[in-house]
Amino acid sequence: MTRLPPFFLRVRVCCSVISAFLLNLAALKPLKWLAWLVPALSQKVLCNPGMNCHGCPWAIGACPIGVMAYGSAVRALPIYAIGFVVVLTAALGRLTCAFLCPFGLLQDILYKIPFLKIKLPRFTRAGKYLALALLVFIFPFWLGFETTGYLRVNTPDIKKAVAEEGKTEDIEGLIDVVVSVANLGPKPVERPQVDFVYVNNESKKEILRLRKDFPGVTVPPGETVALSKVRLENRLAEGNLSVSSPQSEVTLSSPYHLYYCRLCPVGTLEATLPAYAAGEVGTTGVSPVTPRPPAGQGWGMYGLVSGRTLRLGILAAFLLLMLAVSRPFCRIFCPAGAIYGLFSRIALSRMYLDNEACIHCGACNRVCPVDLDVPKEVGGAECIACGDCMKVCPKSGIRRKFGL
Amino acid sequence: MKRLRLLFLAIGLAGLLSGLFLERHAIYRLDGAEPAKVGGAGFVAGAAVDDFMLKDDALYAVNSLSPNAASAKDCKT
Repeated sequence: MTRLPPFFLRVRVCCSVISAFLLNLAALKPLKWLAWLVPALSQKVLCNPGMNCHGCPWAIGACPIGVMAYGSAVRALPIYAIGFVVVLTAALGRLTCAFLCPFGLLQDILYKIPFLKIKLPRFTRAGKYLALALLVFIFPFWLGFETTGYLRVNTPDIKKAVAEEGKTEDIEGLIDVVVSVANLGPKPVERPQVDFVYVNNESKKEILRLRKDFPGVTVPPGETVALSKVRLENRLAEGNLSVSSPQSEVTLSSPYHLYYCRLCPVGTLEATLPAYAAGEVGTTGVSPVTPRPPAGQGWGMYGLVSGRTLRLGILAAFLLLMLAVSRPFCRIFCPAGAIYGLFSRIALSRMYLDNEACIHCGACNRVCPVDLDVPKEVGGAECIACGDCMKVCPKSGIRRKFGL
Repeated sequence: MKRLRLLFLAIGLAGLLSGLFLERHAIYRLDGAEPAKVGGAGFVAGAAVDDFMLKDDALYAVNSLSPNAASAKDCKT
């Protein structure tokens, strides 16, 4: 009986390694001789085949699943991303899962570690279709994003400080600044905060920064409120006075975490963890990184289970499962695999069995990484078209075809 | 089946090409400035960094509120 070649010499594994490298080319940014390539690498105008989060600091492409979920949430049709997925599906079917997906490679490697091995029940296969329908399309479209922030700070009104009647104060070198703020959002903003920053005209460096908050003030949605005057040191000779508000930073969050990117273990591993390590939590809005809760509110504002706990828990569960089950993410939770699988029968690249050649020896079932009943299910929605069964078939009854 | 495969591929290619060359999204700014138009690739790049939000049934640029500044010449009296 033919045996499979050693793991790292298999064509699909080599292809996955090359794909993982190419999809994360921005890792080469520190190399100075590649500096010219950095702006192009950072654009993320191309879509990824397979699961590779665009929130990863090394990623050069956007995850089409993430783009589709985002499109659902902002109710815009991302035709380009959808077209990319359809072309990829029409050409390769689920071949992408076995040959191009970096997360598939990670799962294959982890499954090589000696550990208790178990089989997944068949009903778990439905998980990925539910994830695709509910977490990529229905819930994001229905619930949208909760947005906070967008307080606009208008141009400040500056006057030289004048002593108040009946008071003797040293007002030399001081100015009174009055700013008004407009709430462009749907919710009232309480206790507005304004940053006053002197910026040097030439060097554009900050000279002085001061944050003032205005307790007891509430800015209703759609209204403009003039805040009480703030007395500042007059350094206008050195630079411009810039006013802004931390509440002008719009934060998008998904209600009840019912948004695929918020739960995706690929995003947690490739984007959230590096962001936590770099102390950048909350800087990328909605995507894989959980937003920092507003000042004074703990993570509890996100409910009993914080977004961070939930994400890390899902990742930990999948990592553990990867030791015991071959490719659990592909089988249970991958919406890209669900799309590729739904149309794998009409893809140009497909696997099929020559029924007459099959001697029912079971060799194919023993090597199948997704535990299929290969004679019945090869080339179907669950088959990742890895070709391992093809290699071990003593009668060469399983074949791959590319074409109409 | 051959026709179905061809049709599926043609739909995908049509989507990809129309997304690249015809897809347009008007992105408004919160500071009231003129909206910008982004194509399919621009939308993908923006979605990757959470650049857009939905407000009043229109897409707005999330980071379109830039700080306002005043200089010495604006100081009255």
